[in-house]
Amino acid sequence: MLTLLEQIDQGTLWGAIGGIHPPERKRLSNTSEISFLPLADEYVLPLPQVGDNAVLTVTIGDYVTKGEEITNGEHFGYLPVHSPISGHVTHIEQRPSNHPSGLPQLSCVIRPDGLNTLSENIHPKLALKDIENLSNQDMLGKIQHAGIAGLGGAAFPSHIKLNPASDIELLIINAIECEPYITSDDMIMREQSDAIMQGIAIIYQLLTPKRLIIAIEDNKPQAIDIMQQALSRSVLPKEGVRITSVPTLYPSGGEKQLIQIVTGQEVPSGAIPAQLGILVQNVATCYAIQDAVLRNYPLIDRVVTITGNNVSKPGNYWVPIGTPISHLLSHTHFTGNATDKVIIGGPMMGYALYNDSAPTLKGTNCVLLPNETEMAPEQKELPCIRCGECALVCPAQLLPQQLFWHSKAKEYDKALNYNLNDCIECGCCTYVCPSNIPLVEYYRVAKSAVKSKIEEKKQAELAKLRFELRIQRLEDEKSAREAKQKEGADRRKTNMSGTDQNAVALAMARIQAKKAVKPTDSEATSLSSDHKNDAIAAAFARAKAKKAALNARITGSEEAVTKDATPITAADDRHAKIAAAVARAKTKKAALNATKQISEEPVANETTSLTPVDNKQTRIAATIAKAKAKKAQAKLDNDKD
Amino acid sequence: MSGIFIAIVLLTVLALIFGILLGVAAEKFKVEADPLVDQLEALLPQTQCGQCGYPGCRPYAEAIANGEKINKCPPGGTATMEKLADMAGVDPEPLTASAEIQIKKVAYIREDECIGCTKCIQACPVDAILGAGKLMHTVITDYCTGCDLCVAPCPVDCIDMLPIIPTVKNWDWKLNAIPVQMLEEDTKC
Repeated sequence: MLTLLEQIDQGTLWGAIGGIHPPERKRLSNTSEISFLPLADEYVLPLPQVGDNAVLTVTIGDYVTKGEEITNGEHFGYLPVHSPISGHVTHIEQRPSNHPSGLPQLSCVIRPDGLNTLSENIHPKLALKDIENLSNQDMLGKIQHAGIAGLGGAAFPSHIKLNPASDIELLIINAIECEPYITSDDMIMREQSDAIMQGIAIIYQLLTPKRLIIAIEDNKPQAIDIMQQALSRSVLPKEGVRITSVPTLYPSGGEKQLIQIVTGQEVPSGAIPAQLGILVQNVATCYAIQDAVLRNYPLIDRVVTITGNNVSKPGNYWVPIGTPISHLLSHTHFTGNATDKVIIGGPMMGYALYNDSAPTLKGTNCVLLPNETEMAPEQKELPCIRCGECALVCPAQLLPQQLFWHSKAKEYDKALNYNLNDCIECGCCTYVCPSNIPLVEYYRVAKSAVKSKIEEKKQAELAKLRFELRIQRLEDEKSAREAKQKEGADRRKTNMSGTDQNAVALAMARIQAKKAVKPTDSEATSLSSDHKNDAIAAAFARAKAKKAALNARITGSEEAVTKDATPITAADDRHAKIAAAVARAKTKKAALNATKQISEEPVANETTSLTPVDNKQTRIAATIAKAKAKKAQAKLDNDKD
Repeated sequence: MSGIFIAIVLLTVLALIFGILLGVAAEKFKVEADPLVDQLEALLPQTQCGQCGYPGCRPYAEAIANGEKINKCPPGGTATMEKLADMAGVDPEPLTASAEIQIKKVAYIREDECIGCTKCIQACPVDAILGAGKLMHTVITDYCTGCDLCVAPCPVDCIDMLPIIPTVKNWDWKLNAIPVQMLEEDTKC
């Protein structure tokens, strides 16, 4: 019995589960070399690209060089955003995002100056032996600062992936590229094989795996040849490193599917391959890692396949990240009309773009522009006939028809029991469905519903906690207040001298006596009420006097206007503001009253007509207040002149 | 004849033994809290809005357990009402308040109009409003449950309930498939 590693050394392949053979359509774009496009008018960098906690460090008008970091962040998963071009920051605003929703996202817009001035951090390329002394931490730091995310599409930060908690026995370089139409990995392997090998050597140095497999699908014979030659030239050890040609099948490029084919092992649900001692890295990412470690060159451009029958120059292009898709379309001679679809990614897993001014991202490997012969007309969805075709092709061994059933009925708990979250959204089930059911779309809807439900639950839990904390706080405050009052009362009691206490007792006795007399003597009560009236009158008089004094002071200060202008205007402004606030409060009250009245007597027309009048009055009051403020200002100005 | 007596005596003895056993178990493994209240509370949306007439979600859950109607929670909507009916074992009833389409909203304070009266702070059931007397207040939107309780006390009407703006993060997928036709002219792989 051979061990797993020995079997791998022999090149044994295990069969894939499920999968389909869609038309490849790769020859459209893999016959010409990777070329460059002229500069675009502007480059759009969505700010939270990978990792959320980023702070923009440039402002409008700043000059940035090519490859300069323009964000700052602390989070361990943070990846900086780099300027892909030298030029000036012209806008920081909401721009359409490269996302199936097309929702706007805060973006930094850079207008290129055409000079392509490189950032001073980027240095000429070093040889591999120059970096032998670099520690793993230094290398990971370089990879993080270069902003490298997986270029296969998921855009997971590479510095986290390359720093696994467990030992890695097997490193798989994923050069499968199974999705139809896309040839960007194929072309970069043909043209940059030595650089890719250097990148693989860097990863090898980081992880020191026992075995290394470069897996390439057998529909790329040229790439396999070139990579084989590059491997024999490279510094990688000859033992335990091999290039394996994998039979063409969609979706063997999926991480878990590739592991299944190469090792026969199944990654458990909810686990990551690193737990099995396996790590899968995309081949284009290896190129980017080489650039980052040997040149300090950040991930600011990538190879993008632009293909489909709607472009007259299909092919692969080095595209700066942040280039508007519309620029790509105009320079590859887009021949379709405005209603034709622009698909980001391949035909199986891609999504239609809403607005072609959205930028390319790190995970954008293909822009597909199909014409009507490639696009099926919108077909009517028919009922599921339970043929079971989808279950046969599902590479994750799920039961798509059951998932569909429960997703459509919004029974998400049941869908989760059928392992909805293990669906890789490869689209095989949709492809084979004879009833034209867009199965994957149902799963995506279900997945996002599940996600928002979890989020809601979290929110509810938080609200409950905060509510309970508040109740606790209010109770604590109340008891603290009571304790303080009690303490104060006690202190006063103890501080009282004997004579005071006597006085209190005497007073109490007097009150008692008065009370006893009161009910019999009615005259006395009227007298006391007279007293009260007198007191009220006196209070009124006092208030009036106070008001008059205040008025006098105000006029006095108005006289002072000529001397000092600013404080008074400020005060006036404030008065006006207060008046406005009061007016608003009044309107609210009036409206409230009016609605009350209306609800009380719905027939009365007068009340309804009253509200607008009330409203009007308050508005008039506000306007008068404003006018007064204005007048004062005018007066000031006059006085100044 | 004696057979019947034996049977009766045996069954009585058995019933007694099991009865005592059950009684002891009920005493020994007694559950303090009412599990029904906890389950009902878990179904409520925890907005703590008080629209049911009870000060918070927990008191309403307790009230339902004691026979209160299950249709008094507008933020939960019909879905929550049905779940509550299921849990409490009563028939579903239409909601008391008009069942509008539930769009999640959060409060925003128009900050230059705020006069700093702290009335909204006192009204907020989850302490999601920050501010001090005579100083501007603001809502910590991440903590806001959208319960509306701060809107009425504001003397200058500077609080707006605004729907949450969908972002790339919280966007829901819609059914919009990309149909791609089978092409026969190309070699099949």
